[in-house]
Amino acid sequence: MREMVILAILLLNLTVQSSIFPFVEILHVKPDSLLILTVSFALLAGNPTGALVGLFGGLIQDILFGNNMGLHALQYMTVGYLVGILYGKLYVDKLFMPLLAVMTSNMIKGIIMLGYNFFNQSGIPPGKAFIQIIVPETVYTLLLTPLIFYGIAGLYRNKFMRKKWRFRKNI
Amino acid sequence: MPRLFKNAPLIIVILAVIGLIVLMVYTEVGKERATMVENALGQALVPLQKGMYSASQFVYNLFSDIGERRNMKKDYEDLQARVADMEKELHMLEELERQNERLKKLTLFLDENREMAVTGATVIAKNPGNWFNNITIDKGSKHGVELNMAVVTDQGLVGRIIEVAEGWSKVRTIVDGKSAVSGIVQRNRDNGLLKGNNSLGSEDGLCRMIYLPEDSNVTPGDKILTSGLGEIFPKGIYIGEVEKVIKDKRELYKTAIVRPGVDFQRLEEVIVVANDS
Repeated sequence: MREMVILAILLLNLTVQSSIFPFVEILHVKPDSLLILTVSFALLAGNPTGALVGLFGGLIQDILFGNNMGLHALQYMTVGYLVGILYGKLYVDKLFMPLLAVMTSNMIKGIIMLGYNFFNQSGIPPGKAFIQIIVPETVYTLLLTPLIFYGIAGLYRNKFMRKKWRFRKNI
Repeated sequence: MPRLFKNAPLIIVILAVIGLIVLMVYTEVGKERATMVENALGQALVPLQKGMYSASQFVYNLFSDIGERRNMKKDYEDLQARVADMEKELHMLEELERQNERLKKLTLFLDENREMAVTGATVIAKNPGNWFNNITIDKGSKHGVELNMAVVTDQGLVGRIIEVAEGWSKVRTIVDGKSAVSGIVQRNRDNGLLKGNNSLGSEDGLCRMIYLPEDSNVTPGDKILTSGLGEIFPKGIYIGEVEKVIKDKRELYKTAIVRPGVDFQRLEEVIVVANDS
């Protein structure tokens, strides 16, 4: 049940991201709602969930749009895992923590992208990329964060979302 | 041993990271046919994306209409001023005649392209990230689309097919940083290479035409067409107009900034053409 719900959210997000977001571009960047979803799940449910949501969300994006497999999966899984580590160790309020986590995650994601572009020799100057993509993307994503985080937090008030993951031990 | 188990999640994550990096390197080159998983997932999402894309376009148009209505008075004054300007321009009919001549040539190119057309297609998605500029269209191998076919609209060249699935394909647009198209200046037949403007995050919608001869007299306003070299793009497809010419003292070549004829933000219908040569 929970797996299905998360998968449905990821697919819906991908569809919205690829079809609606091109029309709401500001300064040529689009917000990264998958990142917000990954961070939200990681903050609200801790670790297998955070890393897995990032991994699968990123993989779907790679499969459908990527130049090569694994790039987005790597970014979102790393982010999901790192944020998931914090689960249970600090108090997650409704606004400040999600915003801080999303901002940091966006930077981590940007750094991974810069690394990829370095090894891929795509010739994008890091400084320019930082100013023209990473910073505006972060700001735009932050604006969208409260909305999505509230949504996912609301989802977590349902009981079925709170069960522990079981990897079919009883078969 | 217990210590190892305590760190199990971290070890799993590190293994996954290594796995993903290997996957990334492995799929970087030579992934030209969509894999089975890709095919199935893409197929399932096509109708959903199609609906969402057209719905969002409808909403977008609705809002831009409202904006236009609000500006009506200002538009009216602007238009009056423009009418005055245009009356002056009427005297330059001869000039227009010449322009007509040029446009006729372009239409000829387009007619040639029509004969090579494989299929019309609808854009169903643009990649969600901010770093690459690929689009997905709703026609694939079962409609006759093949790898490396050119994609055009009546406004000019869009890009080329980089991946084909059964019912959909991915197109790398000419403004993508990885795209390279051999181009020719229509007026003086100078050759150059058109690269996507990746140094600006590939999202400013422009291209750079590099390796233009140093003595080239290319000027802003010149039309750029595909040259047909490289045998991917058919010869003579309109690409765009020169916006600026840059000559760096240290370099032996001129560079022209080209604005593509296609509006990549509002791309709806495209035509896939084959290079029959």
